[in-house]
Formats: sequence, C-alpha cells, structure tokens
Amino acid sequence: MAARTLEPTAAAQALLRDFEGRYDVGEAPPVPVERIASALLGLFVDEADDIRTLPGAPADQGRLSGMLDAEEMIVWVDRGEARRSPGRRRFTIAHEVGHFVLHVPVVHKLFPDRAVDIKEIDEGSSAAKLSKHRGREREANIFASELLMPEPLVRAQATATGFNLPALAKRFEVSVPAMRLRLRLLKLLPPLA
Amino acid sequence: MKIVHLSDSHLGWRDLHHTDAEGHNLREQDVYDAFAQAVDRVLELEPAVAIHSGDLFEGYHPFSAALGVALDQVERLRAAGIDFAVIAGNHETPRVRAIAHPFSLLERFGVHAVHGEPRRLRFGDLAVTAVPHSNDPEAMAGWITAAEPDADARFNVLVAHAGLEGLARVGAGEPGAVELPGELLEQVASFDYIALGHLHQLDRPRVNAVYPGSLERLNWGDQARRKGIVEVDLDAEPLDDAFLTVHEIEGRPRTRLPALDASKVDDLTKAISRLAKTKGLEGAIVKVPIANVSFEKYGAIDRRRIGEAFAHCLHLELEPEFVEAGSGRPQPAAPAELRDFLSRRVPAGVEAEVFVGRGETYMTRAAEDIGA
Repeated sequence: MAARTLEPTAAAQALLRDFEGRYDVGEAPPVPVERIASALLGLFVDEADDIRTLPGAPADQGRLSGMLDAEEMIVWVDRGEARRSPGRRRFTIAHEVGHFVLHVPVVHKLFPDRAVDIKEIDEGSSAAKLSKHRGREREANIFASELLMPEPLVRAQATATGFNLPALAKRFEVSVPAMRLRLRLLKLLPPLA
Repeated sequence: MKIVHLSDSHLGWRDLHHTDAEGHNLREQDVYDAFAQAVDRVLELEPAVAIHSGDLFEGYHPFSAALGVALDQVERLRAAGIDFAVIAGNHETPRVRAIAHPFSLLERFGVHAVHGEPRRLRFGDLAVTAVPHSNDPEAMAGWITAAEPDADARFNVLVAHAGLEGLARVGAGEPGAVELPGELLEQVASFDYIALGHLHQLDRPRVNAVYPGSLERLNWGDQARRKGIVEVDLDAEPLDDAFLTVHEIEGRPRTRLPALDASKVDDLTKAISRLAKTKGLEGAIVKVPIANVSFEKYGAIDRRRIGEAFAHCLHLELEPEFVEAGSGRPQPAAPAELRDFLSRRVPAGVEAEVFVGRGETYMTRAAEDIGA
C-alpha cells in the first residue's frame, strides 16, 4: 500500500492508484469504495440500526451516521440512512476510510461520526483553521470526495455528458449536491448550475 | 435569436389569511404581480418567443381572476408581436379526461397552449417541441425520448415539465408530479436548449437545460436566492456567458430569522419583539425559530405585543422547538420501528413488502421535506 500521508487529496489519489494497480480495474465510475475498503485495507463494512448501541460508541452525541472501529477493523454504517440514500452510504464509507488512512493510529481507535460530521457538501473553512475534531472531519470529507469523484474521471465524464448533474451523480453513485460541489470546486460547473 | 424562458407562475395560488381592502388574498395578488413583472421584462427584452414550461395555473379549475390575469398579460405580449407558447404542467392537468383542460380556453384566444399530447410549434427559424405533462410518467418519458430536433429549423428547443431524480425537491413531490432520470436529457442533448419546468429553484441540470424556477416563493422550502426569467441567446455556444442571462423579478421577501434561544432570555415576548427591528422586513413573511422553549414559556408569549412589533411585516410565524420530550417538530420514525408499525397494518390483498417499502419511501420524502 502507498505510504500514508496526512494530505487528504493526495492520500485518496494514492489509495485509488494503489487499488487500480493491484486489481487491474478499469477507470470508470462508480469507484468501488466498499471493495477498496475490504480488499485493499482489510476493513469490514457492516450496518447497524443504531450505531450508538454498539460497544464503545458514544450514546450522548445524538444519532450516528457512521463509525470506524479501527481496532476491530469495521466500518459501521447507519442502516436506515443507507437504505434511504445509497449515495450517502458510499460517502459515509469513504469518510470512514479517510479516517483510517489519515488519522489511524495517530489519534484514536474509534471514530464515531454524526450526520453533521459527514458532509457531502463540505465547503467550509480550510481544515487547518478548524478545531482538531472538525479539522479531522473536514479532512475525511475531502478524502471521501476525492476518492468517490476522482478529478480526471469527473472531468472526462462531465464533458461527455454536457455537465449533466443528475446523470453524473448517478454514474458516480453520489448525491447531486455532492457532485455539484465537486464540479464547482473543479471549476467545471457552468454558471447558474 | 433570443427567446425568453419562464415557468411555474401558479396563477390562482392562495396562501395565508391576509387580504386587501376589497377582500383579495394578498398572496394571490403577489403571484399575479410576479407574472405581470415577468411579462414586463419580456416586453423589454423583445425576444422572438416567450416560452412557459408549465404550471401557468395553480389548478385545473383556475379562478376567473387567474384566467383574467393570464389573458391580459398574454394580450400585452401579442400586442407587442411576441409569441407566447406554454405547455401544461401537473398542476393544471385534470386527473380525469372528462374535465376540459383550462388550456383549451387559452387556445381560443390565440395562445400556443399545448396539452394532452406533444406538439411541434414553428416560429420562423425556431422549432419548439412541446411535451406537456401527462399523468402517465412512462408515456411522458416516452414522448421526451422520442423527441427529435426539426432538421429544417435553424434552432430547436424542447419544452417539458418534470422533475429529475436527485435534484432538489422544491416544487416536486405533489400528486401527479413526474420525476424522470437525468440520463433522459442525454437522449435529447442535440436540442439547442431544453426548457424545463416543475422545480421552483433556478437550476441548470445540463449545460443546455434550465429550470428558471417559480416566479414567487410559495413555501419555506424554496430557498432560492433570486427569482426571475431566463433569456437564452440561441446564437451563442452553451458554455459562453452570453448563452443564458437571468433577469430578476422582485417577489415578496420571505425571511427566516436566526433562532432565538429561549433558555437564555427571561422575557421572551420582549426578545421576539426586538427582532422586529431587523432590516429588510417591510412587507415580509417572517419566521422566528425559538429553540429550547418550554410549553409554559411559549404559552406566556404576548401575541398582541409581538403582533404590534411586527406590524410592518405581512406575516409572522413562530417556530418553537420545545424542551419537553416528545414535542416539537415531527421526527421520522426509526427504520425498524417504522417497518414494524407498517407490517402490522398491511391491507388485505397487498403485498407486505411493497406496502412497507412504499411507507418508508413516503416517510423519507416527508423527512427530507421538513429537513429532518
């Protein structure tokens, strides 16, 4: 596996390159995030009706969207949220993979994430200006966005589809707001969109 | 060649209880004013054609006032030599065939009003393929897929009234509304412009496809920063800045003030009244969220006093978030709980999984609509 780096964009790109190199997969969306988590990192993805009831999970922080248990190597995803939005499920997995790549074992072994932590449209201040917790969450969001929507792939598909937002979101299996932000950050979004 | 695209005017829509001296509903008048403003802009811009992409009327039995406004404004366009083409949206399309479509009346006054089935309209160099709303989503998707540009026309425009999967739900989700996959736009990508209606917020789902949005904000879910109509320069390339220009129209301000934390104030009436001095509230519809409030404290608010303080606004709405358990905004049921609830209520002759699945879908939509 590529050397771990704390720069989220580069880390996501390295992980993707590593996966493509090892498994000889074609460069076409959607990015198989669950396979990357399991085959490359050895993480098991599981769902729970209420993550707060799991051993070690905080019960006092409100409902959790996802949680990385780095010791047990499990990514937990809220079952209801996953069912409501497969795109959101993928983003949560990519976010937790981000914690695994960027922040383990430096910080914690358990990463409980509320819905407000996992932002598909995280465009706030730079991670460096935020509190440590929010900074890490933002890094994980940037990582997830880069992993699920790699720039070269997004550029190629955006041009091919005439910047068709709903079609792009479907191809990459992400939400429209997440794709809209990605295109905006890559300066690919036509005015008014 | 320039055209103007507008949509979702919802003439005849009414809301709140505020009336003028003659008893006219003020919000209904707002909608008429917005449409008149839109026509003012069209007259200034002098396009070849003005295209309305559906929901001209709020319902399929439009009030005579709404019909009058529509005919008066269309007459202004006709007098200026500007053609007006409109397709039927889900709001004005009757659910049963026996009811006459309100557009059949418009047609008698020379309006290019397309309903029932698709039609191609020609305006000189421009061909407009008009796909009206159908209560059968598959038929509608089929019509759109089958639409082809007119090879003899210099410019081709497709008009349709439908939501697209994954886009904001503002204006969507009503009975009869149709939501189509975004890929459908790829099959009609060769049209120079795709004029879409149904969503109430300005959006550009494809480089050559636009929702101008509604002309007035009809609910709190509509967070559009601006309202307006879209001028399209068909001679420009879609990625050029000149291709699309939004011309704003002024609607009634709708302001949600920052939440007031009731646990940090002793005199809630005074604290709410103080917010009335916020700039820009003249004539506005205002919402004041109140967090951490008890039933007792909320009940003690002096409504008369805050009514006086906000007298310069059209309407004041308080949105309490109570501290007492089980109160406040309805929350979506937990998935397991909901499945259990639904599975014990499956009607005879209905497949359980279908029933439960549908219930979950509705709950999800409702949760999204209230932002839960």
